[in-house]
Amino acid sequence: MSGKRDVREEPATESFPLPTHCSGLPMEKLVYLFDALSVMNLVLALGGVVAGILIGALPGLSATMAVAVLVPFTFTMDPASGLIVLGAIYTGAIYGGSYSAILVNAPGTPSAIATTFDGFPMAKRGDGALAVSLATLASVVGGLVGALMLMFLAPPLAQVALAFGPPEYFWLAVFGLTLISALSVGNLLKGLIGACFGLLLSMIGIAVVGADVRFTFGSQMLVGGIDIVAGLIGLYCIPVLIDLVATRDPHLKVESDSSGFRLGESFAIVMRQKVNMIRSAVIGTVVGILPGAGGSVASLVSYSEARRSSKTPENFGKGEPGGIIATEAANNATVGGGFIPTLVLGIPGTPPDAVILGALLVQGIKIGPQLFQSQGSIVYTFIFGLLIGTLLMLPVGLVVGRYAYKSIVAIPKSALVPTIAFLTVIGSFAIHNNLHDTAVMLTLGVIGWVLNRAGFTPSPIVLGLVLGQIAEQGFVQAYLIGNAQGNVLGQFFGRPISLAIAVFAILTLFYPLIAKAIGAARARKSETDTTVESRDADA
Amino acid sequence: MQMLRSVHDPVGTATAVGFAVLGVLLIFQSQRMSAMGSVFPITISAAMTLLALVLVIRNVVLGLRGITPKPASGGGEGGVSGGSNLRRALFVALMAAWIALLPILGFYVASVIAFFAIMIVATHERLSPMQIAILIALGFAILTGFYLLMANVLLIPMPRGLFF
Repeated sequence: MSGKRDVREEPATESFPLPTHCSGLPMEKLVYLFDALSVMNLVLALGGVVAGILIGALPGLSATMAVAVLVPFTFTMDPASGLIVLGAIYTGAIYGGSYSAILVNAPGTPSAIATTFDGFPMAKRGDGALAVSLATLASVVGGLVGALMLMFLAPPLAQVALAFGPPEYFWLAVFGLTLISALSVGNLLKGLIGACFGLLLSMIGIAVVGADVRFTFGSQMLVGGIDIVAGLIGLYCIPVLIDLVATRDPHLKVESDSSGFRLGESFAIVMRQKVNMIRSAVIGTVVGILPGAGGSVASLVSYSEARRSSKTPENFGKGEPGGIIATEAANNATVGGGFIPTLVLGIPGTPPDAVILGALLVQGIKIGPQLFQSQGSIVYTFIFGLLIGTLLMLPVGLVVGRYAYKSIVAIPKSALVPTIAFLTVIGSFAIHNNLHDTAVMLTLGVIGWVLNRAGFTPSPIVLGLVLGQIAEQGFVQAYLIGNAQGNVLGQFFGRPISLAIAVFAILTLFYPLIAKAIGAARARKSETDTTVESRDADA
Repeated sequence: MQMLRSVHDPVGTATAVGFAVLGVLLIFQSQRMSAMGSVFPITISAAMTLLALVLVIRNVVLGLRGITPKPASGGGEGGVSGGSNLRRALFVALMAAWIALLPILGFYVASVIAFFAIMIVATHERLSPMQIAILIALGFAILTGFYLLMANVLLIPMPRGLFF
């Protein structure tokens, strides 16, 4: 370790430090880069990434838990090194969630929900290694975009967090819910009913506004509500296990041509999907800035956008690489995005950011718009550390991912089923150290299996469960504000950002119909043109 | 019964009826809440009831026209059809017993019993003594490793009962 360094005090400007920060001080930043590249910082970043990946890969063990457990250890380090470890663990854990999503259909973290939509179908058909490589590349690019935006655009982007009020959160949740139309191809009605059921599940317990105790049916177990992670593990993992014990069939198909990481193929796909990837990373960064939204909302919104803008939207949900790229680029970009309001405004963007904010305060770092000037040495060393940690994710992720895939394929079903079952039990228990969550997980899993048999797939239910609280809180708060101002409709439709999100949500929801209508119109037009041309030729 | 058989997608229709009943029940439950606490539940419950009724009517009409349901599309979310329902039921029962026994026997001991019981349910072929020995060793290694990680590294207070 480079030992305790003095914090370089620089004169703080009186006004908002946007111009100085944006123009940057390249040489000084290079010094911070060399600080971040010290052997000790590299070792810490590597260790943090490995620990984060392993913890994130286990369903139920979250990035927040990983960061919280390791915060006390960072108090003995110098502030920048401590932050580098925490940032590396955080980014590694968000990425690690993709492994279990791809290989066992259980998102390791809520950020990886949408990774299951295409990742698991790819693994089932024998493309697990390709899916893991795509997730790794997209996560690295997403993480880099988020960290670079944190470095160069933090103060102006922090204003986005302040521009988002309750109606914008409501419309953002609605935007996420429009994914139902993509996930319920063939039976939109069942998808909508499933989403309503998920929304109602999210209302169990004490109301976010009004504090009513709702739908507990007298059970103490339900007063705390249904934890999203317990719900995810139950709805995605238990149905897979119930079907896995019933047959002799292997869990995943083995690739006929097992050519390692399939990196070349992955690079080619990523290059074809570069617009999707960069757009998803930008969406992830912006959503990461919004306090409380987080990686799950970012990945769902990006997935929805990726499908809307794809030439083959019908392939989404059936193992489309573009789906994995959108999700993983977005959720890793939330890491950098989440640090923007944390460092500039002192408002944590995500739960792990809140833990890291506490660590910053203990280290005596003063949060605020002046931070990039007054304590630039710590902040920039940390951001470079985050960039290095994200880059280290590429080799570490590929090796760990390949090993994880080979293990899941090689392990006999007799051992795989009880191991995954054990992980579901231990993971759901570890959320709040409470067996009620484990019971809820199993109950939801069995309900999910029964509903799946009747054609009600789990993803719309999960969407409702994840986005329900955000939607309700935004809706009720916006309604209350609008009512007090005597302009309820103006709250929902009179603000430019909320109006823009609402338009995107409606476009996404009705895109399949719009695309069909445009296609039919084009076909009619070309038919008419051909007829006219043939008439002209005859004449 | 004959009427039910003629309905398009009978299982989906029956489930939709269940959702409609649940929606009505929840609307009645929501009447006791404050105005702010009840606006969202009532809206969503009413929407679920309405959508479920539309699905039921649609399926009845399609059934009367003699239209059979298309196979489910949507990728990897469809469950596996066929297989042993007895094994499925045993697995669910063992999971429930596992969770019930955790506070009675302690996390590790309950997990050892449930882990190997589920292993038996998930085994479809005859195993040699060597394979059985390897599976038992692997099981103990996984259980012990994760238990120690949780209890001693992540400092999660694991449930204790008669044992640990």
